[in-house]
Amino acid sequence: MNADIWGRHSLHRLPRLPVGAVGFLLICALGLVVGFGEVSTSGYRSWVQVFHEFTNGPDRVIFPVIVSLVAGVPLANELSNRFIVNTRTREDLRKHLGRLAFRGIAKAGFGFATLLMVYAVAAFAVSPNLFPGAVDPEAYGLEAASGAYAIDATDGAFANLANYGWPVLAIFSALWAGANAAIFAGVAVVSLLLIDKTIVALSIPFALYLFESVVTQILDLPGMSFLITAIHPVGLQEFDLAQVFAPTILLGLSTWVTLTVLIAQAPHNPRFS
Amino acid sequence: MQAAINGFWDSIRSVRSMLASVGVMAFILGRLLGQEAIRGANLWDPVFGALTDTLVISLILGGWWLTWLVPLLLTAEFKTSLIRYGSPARALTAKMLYLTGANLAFGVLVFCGIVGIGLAGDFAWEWSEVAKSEIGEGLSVFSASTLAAKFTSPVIALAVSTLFTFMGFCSIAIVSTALATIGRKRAALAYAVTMGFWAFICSFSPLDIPQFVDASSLLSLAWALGRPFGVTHAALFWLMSGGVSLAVLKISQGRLSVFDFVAGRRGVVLTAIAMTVLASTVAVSMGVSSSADLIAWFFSGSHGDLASYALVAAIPLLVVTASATQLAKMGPGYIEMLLMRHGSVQRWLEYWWRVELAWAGFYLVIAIATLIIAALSFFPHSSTEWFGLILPGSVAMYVLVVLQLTSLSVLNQFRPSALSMWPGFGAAFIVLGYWPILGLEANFAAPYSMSNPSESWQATAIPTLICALIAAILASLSRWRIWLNSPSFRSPIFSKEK
Repeated sequence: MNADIWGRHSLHRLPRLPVGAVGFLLICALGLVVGFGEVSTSGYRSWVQVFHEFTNGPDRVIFPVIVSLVAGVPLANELSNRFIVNTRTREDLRKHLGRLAFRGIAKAGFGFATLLMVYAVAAFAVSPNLFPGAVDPEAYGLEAASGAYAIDATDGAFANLANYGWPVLAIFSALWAGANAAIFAGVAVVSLLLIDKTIVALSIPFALYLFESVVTQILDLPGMSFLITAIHPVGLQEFDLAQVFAPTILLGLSTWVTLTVLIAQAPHNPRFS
Repeated sequence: MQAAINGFWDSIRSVRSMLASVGVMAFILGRLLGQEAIRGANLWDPVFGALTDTLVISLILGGWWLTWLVPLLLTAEFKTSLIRYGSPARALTAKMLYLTGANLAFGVLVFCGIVGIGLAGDFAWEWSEVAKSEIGEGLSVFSASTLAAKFTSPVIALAVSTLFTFMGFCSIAIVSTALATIGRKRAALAYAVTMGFWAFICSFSPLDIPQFVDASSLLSLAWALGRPFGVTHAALFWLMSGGVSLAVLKISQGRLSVFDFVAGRRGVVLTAIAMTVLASTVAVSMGVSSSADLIAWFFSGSHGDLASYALVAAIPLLVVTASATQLAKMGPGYIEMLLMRHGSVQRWLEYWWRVELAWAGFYLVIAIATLIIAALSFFPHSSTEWFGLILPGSVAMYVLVVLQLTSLSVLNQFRPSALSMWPGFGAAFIVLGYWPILGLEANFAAPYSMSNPSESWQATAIPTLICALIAAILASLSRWRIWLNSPSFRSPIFSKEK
């Protein structure tokens, strides 16, 4: 009944452990526990700030590690056990690599977009019911009515979107985090194709993430630091959208160009022969 | 074609179709009797009142259309259909033709009924006075006056409205039939029934359904005309259904290659459109407030901020990168074949140049057209004085594409594996475009840069000329055909030893 078009039944395929899904669930649980812990004991100016509290969880630091594991491990396995070399007569190499890269990138992007949606629901829909006293604008010297969605210059570059309703802010933040995760997944795939040592290749996204953040923060350009902007652009300093978008666009562009050329040239790559 | 005739014949003599058309006639007659007292009404008022009513349409969808669609889905067998039709695509085509015939027969039955009622009296070739005059808040959307405002003749309106509803039915059917054709019967059935059920819920409109998931604007022309972008959404849904069913068929045969799509012509067209839409959206989100500002922002280049520059510079770079991947895909054997076909390296290069320059121009035209559409739709009431900026900007961008293509060609002639250096070259173009070494007046890596709208040609002329000059020098270099004459390229046909 459940056969595919060639008559193969799904039982013939080996079951796979849902490592990626379990990993995302763990990160999500960790972020929610940390976030609710903070919200239960603190007072905030607005619910947007509560959302920022959730996005400031541990995944801001381990983000590139998770992304390179989710996107890179299947490719790394196939590279290390010579699966690709042994099967390239069966299937076009570019098609196979393209599918592996696409799957990894899509998984990472979709995972982090979902994560941000969960945080938004936790901050804007669950927290007001659990901790109605968490937002106390009067403690900040603001009037209650204006304070409910009081947007401050340090509230992050996307905070103005909350004026259209929190779902708009949530969707845009999810798209942003998803795009960044997808781009770092692309970096992981590129470094796996370029570097022989798996462990070195898989740690390149994290190294790039930290190095870029250190350099841009020393240069006093906080909006360009991935550590501050990649998950959700919010920090202690004020910065504008142009600063936030630039590094993501540049990294995405260079990753796209490198990845397509690398896959196009893969048949001439000695690693696959 | 035989399938369509079969469908027509099966449907026109079936009890189902007759009962359903009698039901539609009953709706029309009921409205006709209800409007006896209204002066100035004619036959078209009850006809359009019934045929564009989403409740009637979703009743037809659930009570008649699904009785034709579901048996097709349940009896589909992948292997049988392969033996019978030859390929999944042909099987899908035959089934859709069958359904089209069945639908046409139903249309003929309903049309005969309308003609019969018309012969009994009240027939006219024109809209009634009621339909022409009554335009107001209190009137139902599902009436002849909605269509009378758009169409001059009720016969044309009847044809267009029926075709619209038919396209809605078929766009639902094609996806489920494609799923059934590749053997996913349960998914196909679930899709068809869910869509029918959703159309039914939407026709009651119990709550304010958001426009982009409203099935009513997919099925009723009168409803779609009354909603903002209703017809556009319906057309998008038709396109999307066609695309999804093609993708389903391709996936079933294992023929879908992400890489081939992304690096192919269609992928680059999509990339050009997507990058332009993304750039315009980002511009609007960053505070651009008129179409003139949007065009000036688009061509600001090294005068703008880094994010704006990178978004726009990505368009020529991605176009040329697709050419780079196409070159990189050619192995030595393929190049030999090309050389045999064209006669010499020079001739092949000339051919390559003609093809790539034409395609690059096409991609840029697509991108600029998308930009103009974005400008017109983001700021519909803005003045159109900005058209003067587009020509110098796009000419300069095209010359930049030519320069990037020449550097690609030089790389390829130097040594095929040197194409690995293309990402480095692309990065150099991006960096030099924003931080020009020759100064802002001679910014050959972003010659389209204009600091303000008043200096369009003055700003781009010199950088464009320098860009063209460098391209010409590199083009003459690329005719040296270094690697083809080098001993490392051991071609049995073109080596010097023979």
